[in-house]
Amino acid sequence: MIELIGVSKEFKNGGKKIIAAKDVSLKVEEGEIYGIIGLSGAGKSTLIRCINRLEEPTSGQIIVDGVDITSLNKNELRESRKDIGMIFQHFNLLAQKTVYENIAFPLKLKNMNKKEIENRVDELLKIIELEDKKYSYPSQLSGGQKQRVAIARAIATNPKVLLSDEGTSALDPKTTHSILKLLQDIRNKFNITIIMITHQMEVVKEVCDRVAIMENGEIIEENTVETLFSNPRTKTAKTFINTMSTDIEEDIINPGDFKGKIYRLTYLGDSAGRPLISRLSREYNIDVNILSGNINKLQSNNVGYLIVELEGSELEIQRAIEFLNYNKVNMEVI
Amino acid sequence: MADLFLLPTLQTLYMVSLSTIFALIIGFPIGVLLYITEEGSIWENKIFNGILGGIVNIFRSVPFLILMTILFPFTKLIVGKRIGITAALVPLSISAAPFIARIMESSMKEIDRGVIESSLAMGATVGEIIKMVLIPESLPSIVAGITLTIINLIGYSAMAGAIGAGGLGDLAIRYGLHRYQADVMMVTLVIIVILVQGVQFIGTRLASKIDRR
Repeated sequence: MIELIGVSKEFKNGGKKIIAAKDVSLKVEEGEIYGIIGLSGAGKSTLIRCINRLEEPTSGQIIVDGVDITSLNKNELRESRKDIGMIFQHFNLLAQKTVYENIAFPLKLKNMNKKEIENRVDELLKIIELEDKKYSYPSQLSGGQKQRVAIARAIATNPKVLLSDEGTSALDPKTTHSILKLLQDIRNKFNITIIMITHQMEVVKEVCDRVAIMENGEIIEENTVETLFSNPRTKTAKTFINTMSTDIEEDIINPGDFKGKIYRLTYLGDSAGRPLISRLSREYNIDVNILSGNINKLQSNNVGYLIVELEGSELEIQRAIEFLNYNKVNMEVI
Repeated sequence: MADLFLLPTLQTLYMVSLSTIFALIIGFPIGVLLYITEEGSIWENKIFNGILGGIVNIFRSVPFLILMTILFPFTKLIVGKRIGITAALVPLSISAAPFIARIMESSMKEIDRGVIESSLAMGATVGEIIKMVLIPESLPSIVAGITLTIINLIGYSAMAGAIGAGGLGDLAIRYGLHRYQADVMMVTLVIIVILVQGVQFIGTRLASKIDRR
């Protein structure tokens, strides 16, 4: 549905060249929720804004629903933007207009008549569960309600694609959860393709199907959320995951303090259902000492972590590791 | 006695209201152009913006009395005479127009850039953004600015009166200054103060009533 081919974006800042996005290529399938995560300054905001050319890419190609966005002229671009919804960190609603008028805005741009607009807005108000706020002004709404209105506005014209530029970053965790739930419902109902950029791993964990990790303008890792959590390849990915699972502080576990070897076990939901650890100590002649553990609920699956100390003979431990690997548990020596 | 003040008051109201309207007609589009052609705005054109901004500044820096005299030939061309309440409309409108333009510009600058960006992302044209975003979103500020302009024009119209345009300024100078009739002068001042206070009161109320922020 969305394809970026070698997209780069350079800024000139007082003679100094800043590369915000560097040869980024990615492909997002129809109906997918695709996350792009990175620290601030990683270039993710620039990248998502290149997709509807709020930011002109310096080079590369962007294809949305079979249309090469990068080759469009001004008028064509404007028309195609009507099929790409976008939400922002700070909602960007018209302060002097009611909720109704805000949601009606893109419909007016499509020259729909009053009756059609009214029907469509009512429909959207139902989806975002704010029917009673139809004639309220944004200043009378909470942050979460404002973002709901912004979402309604973004999907009003039935776009195939929705871009979220830090859409939940200004919200508290509970509100973030409800907004993510809404986005997921919308995806499920209308099969809309969503690209969201964020700096919060919680967001990725909760709704994304796939995720790209961005650093210094480049995508350094791309994977399904499941695989990313169970088997992160880059240091940045691990750091992002660790910022979430505060229970697991590898730093405070010093392997020198223990007699046995320390392992970090990562396993997906289907392995989590089986009593692997008790079998481990029963069937192999080793002692298992659990030092720390955590489970992350992902959109599609759960990922569990355990940090364990294994005591026993080298051979037994080797056999135990083979047993775990066979059961799709990822092992890592700390 | 009341007759003495009625006509000049009406003349002042005539000059102020019409010159406000003309100043708006000239200044409004200039203000919008100044805003949209600014660097990073929706119709960026640095050269045009520089030239237009320069012209606006020149007109704003000329003192009203001098502007009025410079404009005499132009006024005669348009109205047919150089002095009088209708003739005064020309310099009054031309002096207020650049003021209105700058007020429009600064009111629009108050709008969050993100709001304009989201309109662009929805595929709005420059015209649609002006009509559906810039003007409605900055309206409370614009109303406050127009109030300020009207009050300025009340003062300027009194100055125009000083060189024979009629109105309350003319009255104050003829009776108060030339004939030493302090009572006439005082009453004239009171009327002007009431006008200014009234305009300010209505303007402030209106601006806060329409503001939904």
